Amino acid sequence: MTVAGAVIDSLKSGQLIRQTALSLVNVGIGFLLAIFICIPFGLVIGTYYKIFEKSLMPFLRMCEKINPFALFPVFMILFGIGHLEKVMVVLWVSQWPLLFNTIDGVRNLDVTIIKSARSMGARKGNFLLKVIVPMTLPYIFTGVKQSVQLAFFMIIASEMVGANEGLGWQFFSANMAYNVPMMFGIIIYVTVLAIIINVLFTKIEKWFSVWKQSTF
Amino acid sequence: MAITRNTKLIIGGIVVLAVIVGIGVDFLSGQKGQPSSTTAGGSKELAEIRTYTRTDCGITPYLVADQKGFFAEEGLKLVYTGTVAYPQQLASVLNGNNDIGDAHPNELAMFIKGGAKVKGVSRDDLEPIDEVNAEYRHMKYFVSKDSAIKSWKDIQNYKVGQQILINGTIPSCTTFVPSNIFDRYNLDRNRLKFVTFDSDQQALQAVTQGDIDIAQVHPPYYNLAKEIGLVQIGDSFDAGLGAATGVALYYFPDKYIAEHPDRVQAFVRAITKAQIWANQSQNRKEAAEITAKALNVNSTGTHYYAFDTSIPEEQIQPWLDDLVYGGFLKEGELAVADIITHQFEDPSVK
Repeated sequence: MTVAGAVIDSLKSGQLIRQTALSLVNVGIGFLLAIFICIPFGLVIGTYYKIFEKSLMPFLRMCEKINPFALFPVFMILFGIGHLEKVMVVLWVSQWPLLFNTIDGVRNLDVTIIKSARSMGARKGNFLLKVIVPMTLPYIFTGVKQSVQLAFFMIIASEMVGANEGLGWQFFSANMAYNVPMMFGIIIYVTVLAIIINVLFTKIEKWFSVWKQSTF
Repeated sequence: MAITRNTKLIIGGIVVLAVIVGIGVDFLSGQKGQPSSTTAGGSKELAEIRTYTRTDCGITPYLVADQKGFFAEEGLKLVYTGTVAYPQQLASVLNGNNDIGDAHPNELAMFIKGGAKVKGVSRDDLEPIDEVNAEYRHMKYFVSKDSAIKSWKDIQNYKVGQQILINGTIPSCTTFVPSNIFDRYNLDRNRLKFVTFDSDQQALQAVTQGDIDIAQVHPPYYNLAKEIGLVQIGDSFDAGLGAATGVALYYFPDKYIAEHPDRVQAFVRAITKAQIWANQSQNRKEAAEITAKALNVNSTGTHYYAFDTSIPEEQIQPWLDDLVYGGFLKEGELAVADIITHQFEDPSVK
């Protein structure tokens, strides 16, 4: 059987679609949680709580550097082996690019625009929503694209241990059964999915940042 | 002449690179794996035979054959090449990093079906069929002390309509044995949902936490399961397939068999002698201690091993039948003769 044949058979039987859906649900939930927690957190501490940010940053950077593969057994102890554990793994890896890129975005805002906004009487709420957030969007989207790639990468890895479903589990099962066409088929399929996700988020970024021109 | 900053950086970079290359060359030149502990007194050239380091009871025959001199007797020197994760073990044999692998018949059948050119040459584990050796069953089954399951029959009314979570990887002994146990006790084997884990210890942790319903473990983790308060509900013999339930095979690449039949024969003789030694009641404790020391675990136990070099086909057939039943093989796609060879059977070894 060829690689394409193995993928097509799996698609036709619904197995690949089902496992894709399961993996994407876990990625989606974990990633959305990361967005809703980390972007506001990054904006607030980057803008208003610089001392808090400075004192916390070394610890956060250390947490970012912990190898997530080494944390799998810890997550299994804390959250079991079901969907919650997979979501938490995704949340763990995707939060760091979002948080740090958001903070970097706030740090690198154009001072002239900040001063202009303040001189025009922008209050805290308006200042954050109408100045900080739009200007930080390019950085946030850099973090979003990095996070979503990491999330997708890690869900495949985490589904190879303590799992009974998902794309990672399907790859592992094909590997164990020495089903080489299916193994390579899933590798290519996952790569294509990752590319689609990246293209999708690039388009979303362009839609949000429609006001921003490319430099080149 | 004053040395500029750039020059200093370049010199520093060259020094660092030279150190890295030197370390790399030293590392690679020493990367032939751990030498075995016995030699034939230096008077006879020993043929090296390489295998991955096992982190389970499968290592016992190798350790015994190595430490008791059975390999040296047959002119072999075992070289451990390091731990290889299970999914990569076949690849390590096919690409020549290792000479031997071991697998259950269903795994070996899937390898061969997938195009791997390997053959089973001798039996490894075996299920003891007498009560004397009952503690050496291939696998034992544990549940948490709070579980409503106290025996296989309790599963009939347990989590009705839901799946029973158990550690396992398709296809292996962890799927073959419980599926056949369920068949024997008139339970629906499709209720079994296999959850992959890296090790038996993770499965024990998962059942303690309630993440899975049943943990199936191999030696030497039986005592560990009891120490952490788990309750045994059965063992692999409950599948009702006799000695076949525990059978595993040593396999070599076809090319290696064709080029070095003498070494394969020597290996089969040596490992079988080691297995016969390990099976003897007076040697059991020592075999378990050797294994526990190698694996750095407190709990001890070993398998029961094949006591001769024969490969009775009736012990292999149920594994292939189960693959057909599970849809992994078509009827008649692979016969026992496709996955094993009787070429190395030696009746003088017993």
